[in-house]
Amino acid sequence: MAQIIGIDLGTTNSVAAVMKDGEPEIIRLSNSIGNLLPSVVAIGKAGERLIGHAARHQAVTNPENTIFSVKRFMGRKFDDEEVQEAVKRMPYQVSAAPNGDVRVKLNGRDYSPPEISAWVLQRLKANAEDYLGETVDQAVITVPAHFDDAQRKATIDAGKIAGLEVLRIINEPTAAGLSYGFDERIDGTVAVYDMGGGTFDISILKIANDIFEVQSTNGDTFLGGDNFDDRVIDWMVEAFEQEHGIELRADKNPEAFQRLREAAEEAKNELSETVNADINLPYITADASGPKNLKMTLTRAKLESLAMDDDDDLIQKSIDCCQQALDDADLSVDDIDEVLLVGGMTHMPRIREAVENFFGKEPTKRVNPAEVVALGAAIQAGVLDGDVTGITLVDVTPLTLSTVTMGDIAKPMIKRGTTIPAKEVDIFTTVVDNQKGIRVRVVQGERPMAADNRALGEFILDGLLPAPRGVPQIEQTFEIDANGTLHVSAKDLATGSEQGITIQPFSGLSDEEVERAKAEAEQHAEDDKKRKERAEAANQAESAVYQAEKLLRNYANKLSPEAVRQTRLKVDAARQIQANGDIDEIKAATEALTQQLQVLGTQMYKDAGR
Amino acid sequence: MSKIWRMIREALQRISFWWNKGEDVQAELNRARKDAEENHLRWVNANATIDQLKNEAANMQAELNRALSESQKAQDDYKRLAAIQKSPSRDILKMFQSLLPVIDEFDLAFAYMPEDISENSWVEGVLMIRSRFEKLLKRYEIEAIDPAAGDYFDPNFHQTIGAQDSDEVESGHVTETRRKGYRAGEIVLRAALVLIAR
Repeated sequence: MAQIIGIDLGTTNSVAAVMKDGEPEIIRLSNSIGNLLPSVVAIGKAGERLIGHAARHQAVTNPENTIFSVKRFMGRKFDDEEVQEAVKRMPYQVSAAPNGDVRVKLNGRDYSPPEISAWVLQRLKANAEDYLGETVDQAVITVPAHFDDAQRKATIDAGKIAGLEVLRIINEPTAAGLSYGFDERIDGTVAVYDMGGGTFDISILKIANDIFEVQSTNGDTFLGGDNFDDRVIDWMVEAFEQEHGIELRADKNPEAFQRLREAAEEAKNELSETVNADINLPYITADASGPKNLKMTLTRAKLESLAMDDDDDLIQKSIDCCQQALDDADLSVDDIDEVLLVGGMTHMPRIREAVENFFGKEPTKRVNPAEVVALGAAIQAGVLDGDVTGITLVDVTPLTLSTVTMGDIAKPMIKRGTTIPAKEVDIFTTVVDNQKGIRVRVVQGERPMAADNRALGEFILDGLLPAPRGVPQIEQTFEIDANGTLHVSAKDLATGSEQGITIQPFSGLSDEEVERAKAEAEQHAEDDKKRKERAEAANQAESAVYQAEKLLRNYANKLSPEAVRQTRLKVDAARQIQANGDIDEIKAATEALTQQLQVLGTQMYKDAGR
Repeated sequence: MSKIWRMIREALQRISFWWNKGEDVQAELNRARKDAEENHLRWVNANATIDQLKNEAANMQAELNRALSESQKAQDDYKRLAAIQKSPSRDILKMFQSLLPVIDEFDLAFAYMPEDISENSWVEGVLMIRSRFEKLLKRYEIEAIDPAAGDYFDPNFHQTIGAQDSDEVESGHVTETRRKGYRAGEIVLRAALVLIAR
């Protein structure tokens, strides 16, 4: 049976995992040492699709056609404050779709955020298939706990476009809880502190009898490891400039800057283990007087003072968010039973210390925080698969779902924290005499007035029989299925006539748009596969050419001039076709050359035997 | 009278003959019927055997197909595993990855070498130390990625750090490698840092 994979679809990096022999395991990438796939896509100068490292590698010279951090736009409206804030920082074009959704421009064409995310998912899928040796078409994908319906639907759409049936969307902190709790059960009120490359999230979860309920979330969408790196680099650049009067900025000295960036990251990691990190970059640059060496020591104290700058203390910022999350959940630090760390930045000792000081207990660190979310998604996949028993993750509704009654009052139908699937039925009536129909409005949120909550959808049930107000009986049904999709219906009990809707977020892609994008993505996957096959064939051609040339170089004197001439012809043909030919031509040329080499070999052995 | 008796005798004889003959025929018939029945039984049995054999053949074919597909899968797995095992482990590659800056800095050292000491045998010795690294890389099948001017820019193996104007190089192609990259087969330890033509 094909396996279900778990995917952490991150803002900066994405990673997939799968259950293997009863344990969750990260699916490593076939072309890189690390396990994280950059969530970056691009269209190269030649019009080819680039995903992950390849996209990142050409970002400097092709910034307008390189899309990163698209997760910030998933399921959002262009006018959203967060979107506007993000747009300011993007070198690529972002615009509004006719329905107000976000579109990003790539090579002159508009793409929806799910389409872009699908490229990343497609690469993870293909990589997983290589790794597992079988087709993968189902997945569990994680999203931040604060993602609303539209953002979750956008994530499901991205999966569909990539050819993945998204069996379940789970919250990132829930995945972390599953992963940390896999070997040692976790129960109680749990704080999940998640600092990634570019974003910070704190979630307060209540875990009881396998029910994971999100109590509150908070965070800073522009706080992450990158901010720390930038400060270290700035410090190095300034110190170097003071000493030598030379600026090592990216625009002035790109390769020196690249070395600085790598050294800053290395020093930062080193300081998780030691208190001093020597940064030695010999020959970082040169001027008229000769080459210059960069030599400095970054102490843990210095790194902390850089991060905890009085005006803008990165660590305190995250702690403030933690306090806010506790306040929102009406809890104090004493109520927290366990603290879980997620994200690469939480390796930093000062962060662990700050978290420990704030919550008054040592954070749990059993699992690699950079991989913990993907591993949790794999565990959930294992539960769906039947591989993992003893865990029954129960989802609950994050917000109350209400119908709107007279006076614009939100009447709760399915309360926040209800385990799903759930179904609630209630009877309503008309407010004026001879009312012909009723408008059913659905809102989400905890506020008593409908207008203060988020409108999810509405429909009209008409054809009511003439009757005094208060007489007709209208049955409303709210039903949430296992995927969290809400179906609302209203039935006139007198006539039996019924109307209903499945609540689709007001934004997002239509089914047709998803299908179209999927077909396109399949075509691209096919192209990618062909390109890869061609590259492999070209490699074989190259190695045949190499062998032939080596043979000609070493043994030309032992071969007949005609044999040498024939071989050279075939070498030239293979070399030419390798550069420009299609895959069949390359294969044919390689085959011809290989056969020629066999003929030569046979001849040489024969001659030797004489 | 005797003629009559004779005729009667002859008739009796004939009757007896035919009677006997009839019995013979009957016996023959019975025998034939029995044979036919036996043959029929044999035929039925044979048919059953044929069916059975057919079934067995089909089963064997299915078994064979299964075995073939298993063996194909095993071969694929083997190839996959062999490919994984043939390449050095990720841990070794990670170690090499962390050594790459050392190699870069050797390269830089020689790039900035003052001319007057280039013939110095001490310098030559340091060069020999550097070449040891090359040897080690080769042993683990780690190749340098060092595109020449005019080479196609391949973002899988090259990373741009900037663009420059060029008369000789086609737009988008590599003009210069500023720092070598390294790969072990398809696995990129580090992309080469390059400049490309605007």
